[in-house]
Amino acid sequence: MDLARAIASVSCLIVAAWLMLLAFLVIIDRLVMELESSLLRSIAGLALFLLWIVLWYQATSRLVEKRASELRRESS
Amino acid sequence: MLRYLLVLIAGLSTSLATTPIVAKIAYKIGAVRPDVHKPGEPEIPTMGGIAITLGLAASSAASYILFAEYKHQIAILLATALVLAVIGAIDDIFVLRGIVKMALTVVAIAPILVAGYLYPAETGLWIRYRPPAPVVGRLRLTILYWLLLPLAIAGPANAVNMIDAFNGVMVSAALISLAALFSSSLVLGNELCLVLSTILIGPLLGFLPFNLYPSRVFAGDTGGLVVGGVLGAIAVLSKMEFVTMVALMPEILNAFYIVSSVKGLVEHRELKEKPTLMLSDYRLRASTNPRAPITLTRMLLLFGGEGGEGELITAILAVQAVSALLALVTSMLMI
Repeated sequence: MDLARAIASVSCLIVAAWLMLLAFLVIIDRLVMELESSLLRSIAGLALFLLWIVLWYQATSRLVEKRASELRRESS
Repeated sequence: MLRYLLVLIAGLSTSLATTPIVAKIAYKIGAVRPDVHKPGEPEIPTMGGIAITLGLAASSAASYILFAEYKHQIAILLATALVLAVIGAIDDIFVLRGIVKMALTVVAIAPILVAGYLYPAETGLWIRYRPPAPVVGRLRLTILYWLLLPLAIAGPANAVNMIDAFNGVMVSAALISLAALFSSSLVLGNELCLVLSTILIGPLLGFLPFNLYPSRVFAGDTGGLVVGGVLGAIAVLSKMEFVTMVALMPEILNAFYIVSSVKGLVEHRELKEKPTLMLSDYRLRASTNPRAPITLTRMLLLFGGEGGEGELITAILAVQAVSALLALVTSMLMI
């Protein structure tokens, strides 16, 4: 097993998720927090959070599928 | 310093002394699981989490006396651990379905909610509570916080439990996360988090020698749920939600990928497609089936190639260490 490659690849995903979380917080602070109603802030915050989750899942699952298909091609 | 050391020793010595006894009882009642990554698949006693819980009770009792100013939080932490230990023990003996286990672990938020209602000043759990966050200061998502709170225990409990696929991984990873929480508490001057983290560090250190590769005892669902749930309780009680979330990112991402890719909460025994394949020499290979669930182990194998259990343990703990460093940076961004 290429340990360094495995650790570096997954660590990059972790660091990317962390950076996106910080960016998400800044967006919440700059945009959502400007809304007057607390209920509206919560709905907008939750919607943005769900959007972030969906985008993150789509991006990483495509990356995993791409690598899996490369391995399928190599083995055939 | 001496007080922390005494709390640590109370937890460590209790779990060190009780783990062999718990292992013997587990053998007798048939609470054993095959170690599928070893030749011959030896039967290993599970429910080692009971010893962790006993250690946690001892360190909680010690800290209740030594840190009386935090007695409410310490009592809540222990109550949460006991609820999860009961759920975990039932799961270890009867094997619950994933969705049932998740639903039961949501109940473990009850001690926090009840204590928050009865002692809002002592616990700091106000209705208008604003969680501290990096970069932006305090969030004003007060409604969202209370909507997500029921998952504060169930989420980490199940996520930490799901990463316990190899010998010693869950306990070692939790210790790395606790090291991050401990150092972040020093950065932020959060004494409560130091105390609550020390309560969990001792029992884990006492249990680790029995659980390290090659394991003589498994923590089982009891251990996974208790350790994860207590980490969640530490986060809520000491207002370290963001730091804990970052420290537990490998566990959270692993659980999130599994739940998303299989589109539901299922036990690993219920999975139709396995994420990894076992080779004849007991090394693992990532499944290339598009329908196989995405897990942390599968990703490591996809990017690093076939590997043995030892290599995978090293890789997972290295990723956990990266996450711990990010948690420390997160706490620095909260000053």
